[in-house]
Amino acid sequence: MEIRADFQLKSIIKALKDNVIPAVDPNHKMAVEQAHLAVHVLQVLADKLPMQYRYDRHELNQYVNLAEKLGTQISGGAKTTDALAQLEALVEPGKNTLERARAEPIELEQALLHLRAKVGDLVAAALEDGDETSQKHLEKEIMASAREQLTRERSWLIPMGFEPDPAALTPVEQLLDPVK
Amino acid sequence: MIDKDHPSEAWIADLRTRFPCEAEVDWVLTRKLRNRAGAAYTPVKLDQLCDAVTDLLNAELHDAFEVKNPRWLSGGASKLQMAFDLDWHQPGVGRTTTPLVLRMEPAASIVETSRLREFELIKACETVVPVPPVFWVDREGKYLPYPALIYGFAKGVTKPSTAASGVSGTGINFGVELRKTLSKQFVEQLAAIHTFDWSKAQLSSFSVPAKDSAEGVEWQINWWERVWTEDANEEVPLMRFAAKWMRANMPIIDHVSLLHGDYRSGNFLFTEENSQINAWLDWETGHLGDRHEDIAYSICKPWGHLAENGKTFLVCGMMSEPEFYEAYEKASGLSVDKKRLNFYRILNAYKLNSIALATAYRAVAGGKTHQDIVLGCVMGASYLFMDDLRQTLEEVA
Repeated sequence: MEIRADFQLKSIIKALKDNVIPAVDPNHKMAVEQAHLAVHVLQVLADKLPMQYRYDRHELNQYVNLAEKLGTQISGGAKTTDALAQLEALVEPGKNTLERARAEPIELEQALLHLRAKVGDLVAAALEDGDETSQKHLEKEIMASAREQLTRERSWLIPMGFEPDPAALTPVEQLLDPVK
Repeated sequence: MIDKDHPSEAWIADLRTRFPCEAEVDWVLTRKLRNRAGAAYTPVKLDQLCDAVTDLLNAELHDAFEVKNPRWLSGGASKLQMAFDLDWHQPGVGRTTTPLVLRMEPAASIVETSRLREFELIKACETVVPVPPVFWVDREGKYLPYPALIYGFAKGVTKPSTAASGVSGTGINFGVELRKTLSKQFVEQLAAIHTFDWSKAQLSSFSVPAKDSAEGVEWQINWWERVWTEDANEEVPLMRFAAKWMRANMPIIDHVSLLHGDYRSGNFLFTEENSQINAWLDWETGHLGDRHEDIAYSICKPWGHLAENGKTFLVCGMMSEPEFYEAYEKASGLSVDKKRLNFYRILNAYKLNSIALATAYRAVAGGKTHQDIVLGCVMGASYLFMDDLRQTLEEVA
């Protein structure tokens, strides 16, 4: 999927700065102020978006550590004991989530980009000098993969307004595997 | 992986060898790559453009003139457009004020094309179909910040005042009554372009493909495979498969026609008071080739919509596919061949993906245009083109 949030944010900011803000009525002070503020907030989002995942992971790790420390240092009556038990029950699930969340989003993106490139190279090579059976398998697999991918991409982009019959497409929520 | 944002001369030379195109197309694409590592687009002010237009006209005109009333025009995803009035001594007319449009490239476009070719094509069609009169061209951006042409301001709208459409004039719904009137003109004018005797027209920037050969088809495949290779960020294996299939299945061109290259609703203006098509615009991908390329282009899904019955797909919001083919054959006297139509559905989908997914991405990533946000939205249509490519390949491959 080429149309990612960071890519879109950049063009939104450029449109606002280059074309929209210069056309805002300078006498409408509130409009001018909020237009600049909108650009500023979008710029902050664009800058921080690549680190959002790392930030959340870091924070989760911090709280897992804090919960473990508190578990060894805090004691008290029934209320404290109950609260500690509830807190401790979340430590292992938190650690498990951290264990599974080891790749950065950019790593996912780069891995995908490299795999796409090499599949493309294989398609070109095998259509050039692959044996006949391989070429038939290749066609079948590439077509099936494209069908699945394009179904997902078209569904993802329904809000862009290009689909002649959006109701005919399966909602994208039903097309994505849950992250386990 | 190749750094496409900083193309080396060796890579450019390799692309030129692997994908030989018409000379003017090669010049445009080579220039695009050589400019790529350069600056992003920075907004140009109307005053700057007026000064540059004045410089151009000083070189072209010998009488006093004045550039007046400049204002921005919107519409289209490709070029920057400024309307203005020219007070001048027009040959054969005398002192007059002519409403004009400057059509100029940004630092990089969603589709990189030649202003000279566009100029020559519109000029050639002045007596064939309604087009705005063209006046001057700045092929290399000698006077203007970027290459540009100047043509007459054509009155009209791309869609009814009350109608909705997608970005860049896609999916326009003309409504039941207007569609009847426009459909007839739409088909007849396509037929007129395809049956026009272009051999006497001034088309110096075009190469003429041999009749009864696939030469012109190979030029088109080379053009768009080169663009895809130059600009795509994410690899799409289906595109490799499609390129290979096209090269193995190139049809012969039985009749070399002038082609518009982007013949669809959204690219013509009509006047609402009499429902007449007043001007065909956006000739930039036009060339000499097989009529089926234009016909197949018009039937692309994003240009049309479903009829009121919720079932029939209307080509460009006009008529059903069978009605379109029948009317075209009647108007042109030329046949519509399903097999060739399928080939060009694949070529057009490939071309549209090269433009809407690959070049649009590269231009926006580099901040190269005056409307990156529009290009970012147009990219949303590319997955429809890609799925059309897949479906057609599954049908015919």
